[in-house]
Amino acid sequence: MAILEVQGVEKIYTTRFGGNQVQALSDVHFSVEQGEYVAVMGESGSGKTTLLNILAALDKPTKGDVLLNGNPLSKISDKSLAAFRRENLGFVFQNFNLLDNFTLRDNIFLPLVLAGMQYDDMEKRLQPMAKVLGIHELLNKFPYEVSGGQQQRAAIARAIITEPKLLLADEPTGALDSKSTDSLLDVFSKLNAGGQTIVMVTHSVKAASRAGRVLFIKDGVIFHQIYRGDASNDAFYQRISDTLTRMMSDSLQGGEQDA
Amino acid sequence: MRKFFYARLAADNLKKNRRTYLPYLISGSVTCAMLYIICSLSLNDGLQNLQKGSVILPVILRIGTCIAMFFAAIFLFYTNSFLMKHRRKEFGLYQLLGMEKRHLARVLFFETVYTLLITMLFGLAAGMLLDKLMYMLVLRIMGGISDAQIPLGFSFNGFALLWVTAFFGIVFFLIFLNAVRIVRFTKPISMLSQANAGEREPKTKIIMAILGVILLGTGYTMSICARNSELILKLMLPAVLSVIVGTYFLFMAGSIALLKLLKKNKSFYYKTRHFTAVSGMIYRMKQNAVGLAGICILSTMVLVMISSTTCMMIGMDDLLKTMFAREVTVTKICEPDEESDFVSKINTALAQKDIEPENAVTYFRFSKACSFTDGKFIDYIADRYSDENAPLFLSVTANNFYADMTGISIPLEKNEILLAGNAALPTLRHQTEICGQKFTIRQLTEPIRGYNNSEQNVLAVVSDSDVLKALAKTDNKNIEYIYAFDMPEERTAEIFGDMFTRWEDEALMERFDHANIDCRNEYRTEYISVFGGLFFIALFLGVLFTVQMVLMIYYKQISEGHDDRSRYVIMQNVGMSLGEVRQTIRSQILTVFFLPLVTAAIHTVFCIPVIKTVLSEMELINLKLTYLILGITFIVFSILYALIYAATAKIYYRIVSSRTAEAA
Repeated sequence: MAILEVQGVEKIYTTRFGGNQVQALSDVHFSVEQGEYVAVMGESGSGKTTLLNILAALDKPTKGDVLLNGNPLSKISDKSLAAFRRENLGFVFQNFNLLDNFTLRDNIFLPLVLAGMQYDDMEKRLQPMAKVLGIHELLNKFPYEVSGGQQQRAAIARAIITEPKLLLADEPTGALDSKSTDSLLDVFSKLNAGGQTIVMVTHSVKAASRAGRVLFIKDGVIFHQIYRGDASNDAFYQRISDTLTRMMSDSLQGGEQDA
Repeated sequence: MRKFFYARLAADNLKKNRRTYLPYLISGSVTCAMLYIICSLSLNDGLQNLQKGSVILPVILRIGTCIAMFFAAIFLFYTNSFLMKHRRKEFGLYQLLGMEKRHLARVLFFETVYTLLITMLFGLAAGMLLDKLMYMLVLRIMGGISDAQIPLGFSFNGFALLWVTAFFGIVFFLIFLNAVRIVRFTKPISMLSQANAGEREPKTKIIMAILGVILLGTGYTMSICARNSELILKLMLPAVLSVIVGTYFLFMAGSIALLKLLKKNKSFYYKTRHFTAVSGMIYRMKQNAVGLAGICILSTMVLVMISSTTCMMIGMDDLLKTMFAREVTVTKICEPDEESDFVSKINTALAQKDIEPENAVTYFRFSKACSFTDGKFIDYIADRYSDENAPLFLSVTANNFYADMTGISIPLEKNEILLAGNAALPTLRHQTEICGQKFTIRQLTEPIRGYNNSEQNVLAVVSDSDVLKALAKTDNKNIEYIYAFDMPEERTAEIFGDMFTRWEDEALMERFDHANIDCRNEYRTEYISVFGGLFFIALFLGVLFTVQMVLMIYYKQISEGHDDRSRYVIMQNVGMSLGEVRQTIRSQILTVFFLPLVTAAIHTVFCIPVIKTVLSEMELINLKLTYLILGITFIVFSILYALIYAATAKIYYRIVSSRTAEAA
């Protein structure tokens, strides 16, 4: 059964004084199955961040709807939106978005505290997870005392400690060096192997090549998608890379035709 | 064109930073105007020649000017260093773009000159416009003189102008030097990255926190223990200093220690309500403790000054009534067996002017220095080697005086006396001896205000004037004949002349048998110039402090807003609704801003014993009135504070919400 269904989503931004209209998303359809690991690729300005914001219920589509577990997001009232997000979605951001005035532990606990959970229960959830993520010895440190990779792992812990139905990641490796990127991608793969559904927006072919399926977005529409099947990481990497090259040459030709 | 480059850049900088510079300029101008006004008032000839009694007023105003200048300098300096700190990033950028430090200094120089010019221009203009108004206000407070007597028009005081210009010149020069110092000792890279550096969690300074508690406790204890003016003079400075330092320590270290303690309590800390609040407050207190403690001290000063001087102003008539039961009091000192006809002489003199004395009374009284030993009042023999045996001043008076003063008449037998009670006489018995004559103490009563407020003064009331005269005779003491009566107060000067000249006027004194004449309204003039002067200074400093406080609160709101906007965004991403985020942050902001007010209220409460003692030494003890005025002052001040808060909070929300929208 599809955990996430995106049905004909369109998003038009109107500039502040009503002058220009910018079409960020034209007509996006796709669905994500339970336990899938999907990467969304596209250039800057292709609309992928807009798409993610709509999936995260941070933004509303102009047309169309998003269904999570069969529930349309548009039906959720503004009041219960925050709670809905907290209970169903987990977020990982490019710049980690950890609060500087909290230790890693408190950062991870934040959504649970908001949900009103008891301290002992939170600690029970955290311990095994921290071991898996390799941050169990850093829990009492502040974000500025640990490396970027460690901060991002803490951010992942914060995202999944609520046991969300869907984990959304926005360029999670964007601010990391290659070694941290590798270990972070391993974490994602491990989580996915454990049954976690993941949707990741990324620039990086390397990050995308670890996913089970890659969606290519261009000029506000899903342009193409490829499945890993039983290809190895390297083979999948090659296929993604080829697809991107083809997309690029298409748009180059398109540009020439226009001229 | 190049010549004007720095001058232009400086002007642009001020324009660009107008959100922070405009309030600075406004408060600077207000300060300038106020300094000009108080300076010009203290140098005002009209005020000096106003009444002979008010020689003290210009002195009070001059002292007030010094205090106001001192605080104004501190405020201007403090505000400017706040502005500079917020512009570090900008300075870093200029340096990265290739500007040298001496170029920056040149820009800063122009900026300082502009600020100085704008401040002085508006300040002096406003000062000169309002000068006359303030002059009228002072006269109003002093009473008596109607506005019509003041020449209308524009007055201009060259000396005041000179003083204020010199003051601002020096302060702004120092401000400029400080700005250059800030730029000089900061590396461009650290200027740029300063905003991004993670804020460290403050350490618990447990010693400082404990010291703060001890200092505050000491200050409070001193205030409670200061029961007389001598002690107050001794303890005033240490008490005030320890409360100020204690407040700073508690705000800086105590608050953080408390919050950390709360944080350690896991079942308390990990609750939706407390989680973000406690950890947020730790950082807020770290950044704002100094400013908040300053606001708290200022508020306390305003509260105490305004309320105590208001008490003086309002209680003054009360005081005068107890000191002088009638409008005119004539005292003649005679030999014990000499009868004086001064009463009839005065009545004749009054009749010539068509004045009928009303409520006239005659008292007798004599005083002597005594020691109280073995339950007897015996003649005091000076013992220069011992301070222990200080003399008691015994005033003996007849029953009609007591009844007149208190409205209570207690019938006394010839051998009975009343003693107006006094803690210095713990061994008082039922029998006592005065001037070798035995008396039974009928009753110990409360001291009569204005006559025996101090521990050294004892009032003995005997049954009638014959007993009193007999006593004085055996002791060979002079008796004071007191004739007190009411008459229209506006005519006292016409009949008795002026307080300072009548003693020289031999002919005038001859008419009144060389008696001593005290007119209540003459004392009122004297008192008004002291109390009124203090009241005016208190109002003045109160306004000055409030202006500074508004500025401090405004800047705090801005810096809080900038610090909070990223927090807002992250918390929303983690699943807090906008409403929840607003609510937690609002409650923190409220705590931060109302903590100083609450602390100021506590300080003021602990200041009450001192105020009470000072006022009662000045015979102004009217407790109900004192509390009422304190209460009203506090309420008015709180309302003002809340208004300031509400007005500045808008700016905070604008900063926070604009960034939220941008980031989402």
